[in-house]
Amino acid sequence: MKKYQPSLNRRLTEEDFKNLFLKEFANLKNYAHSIVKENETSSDIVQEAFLALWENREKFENERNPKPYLITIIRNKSINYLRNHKKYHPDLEAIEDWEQHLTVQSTDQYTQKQLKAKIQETLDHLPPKCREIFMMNRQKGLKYKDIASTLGISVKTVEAQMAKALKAFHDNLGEFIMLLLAFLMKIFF
Amino acid sequence: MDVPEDILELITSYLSGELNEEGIRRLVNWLNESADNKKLFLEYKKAWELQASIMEPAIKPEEEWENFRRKNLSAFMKNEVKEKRTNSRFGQSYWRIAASLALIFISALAAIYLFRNQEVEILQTQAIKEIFTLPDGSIITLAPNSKAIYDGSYGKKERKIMVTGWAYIKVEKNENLPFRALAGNLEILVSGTSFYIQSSATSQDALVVLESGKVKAYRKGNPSDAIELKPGQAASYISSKDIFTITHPEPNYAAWNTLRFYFNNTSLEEVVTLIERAYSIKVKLSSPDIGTCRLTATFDNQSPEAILQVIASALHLKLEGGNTEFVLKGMPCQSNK
Repeated sequence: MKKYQPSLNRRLTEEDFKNLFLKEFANLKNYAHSIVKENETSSDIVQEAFLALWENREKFENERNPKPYLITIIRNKSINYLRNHKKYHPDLEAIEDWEQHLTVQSTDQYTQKQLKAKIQETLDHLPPKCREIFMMNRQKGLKYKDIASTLGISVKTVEAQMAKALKAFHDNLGEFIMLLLAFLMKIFF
Repeated sequence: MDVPEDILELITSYLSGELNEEGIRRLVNWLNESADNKKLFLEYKKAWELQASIMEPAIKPEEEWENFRRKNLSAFMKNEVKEKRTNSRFGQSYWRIAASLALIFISALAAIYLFRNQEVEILQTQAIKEIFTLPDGSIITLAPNSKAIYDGSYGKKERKIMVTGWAYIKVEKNENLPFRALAGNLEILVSGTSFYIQSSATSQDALVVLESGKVKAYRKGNPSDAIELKPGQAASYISSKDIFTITHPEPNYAAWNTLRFYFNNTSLEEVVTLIERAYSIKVKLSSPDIGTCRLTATFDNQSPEAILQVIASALHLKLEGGNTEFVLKGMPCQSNK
């Protein structure tokens, strides 16, 4: 039975580290984001994981791949974050399959263009109030309660309008969900 | 099928990171009501991710790197350039990229050939094993770093699934819907049974071990050469020799799933490989010589740390490390080589 891959007998230099950071950051952030669902938190978590890697780089001398280490740290930190904010539920972890976000998910330019057009079209057809709320949340990154106080409405109304927007995207993007799946197949296999 | 309005609000709030403890509990209750609910949830989640891919500012690794560097300046020394370069690595990694691209290409062709229908579901695991329920209620357990795909026709005329890596499949009995599993150059046909199946990611090698019921195993596309297996038997395809044969499974084939290990005068090298795979951990030996030490023991559902501790004391080694990385240190065994 074959065992360990041949080790690379060298240190993790800063140059290696930087290259690793540039190469993996986006995927790892998507992974963290798929767990914590918050933009800045997910960036912070990935940065913390890289810092931990840098501080423990001696352990990676003669080691083949620090990525599983990063993934483990990110996972633990993300779950801790959810736990501390009372947002963790093991069933959601099983249903969502966070790990799938570790793989690059991009589509070709043509599809990307079409998707963009479809999303713009969906946005254009949203009722004005719904669109305003949606943009405040997704583009400006405002929390529901901030949107509510800015517009002088209840959080409940914000929730309802956001749900309305998601339904519109869901109903209009069916074909892209299929395309995405077909494309994922090519990436994985 | 439509999602009730209150649930849709829960889903949206959850995806935007706004759902509180009580909301999460309600959402999970709804999700656990049915497989359809889970499916609907995943569709909405995909819709959410699609809009986010356009609406949200793209991730800029360069900027993140600058932030990171600024924040953690003290952690970095300025003498990075003094590191010696070894260029040979580059050559090596190019080969690896070329090889994996070729593999992706071949597998893509295989997948396209098998699943002409566009709608494909991919089940994939990374560091831990996971259990999935297929549309017909059959249950598939995937070992770490394994995957399975099936398409929209699954459960209509037949049930067809393609596996890479290790999987344990419990097939829901249904005489009218034959279940076909494809792994490497091996194909098996069953109606209701449970079996382990494995295929290599890099070759057409594959193995099936029957646990209960009956299966027919044959070279892909040649059902006329089928071998019928009895429980406990295995069939394997060895691509280097183009041989398809009945074999005895090695004792620990299911260890990744059951966490039960049977070691009978097994070399430490092999023991460690099995434990590493089952728990997704790393175990280093302080020198390769220790790998020839032999061990007889059984373990049932114990933590990797507990197992390694027992091994260490049995072989007079010292266990260091913890969590996901361990080291076994000590002198090579002499008496029992």
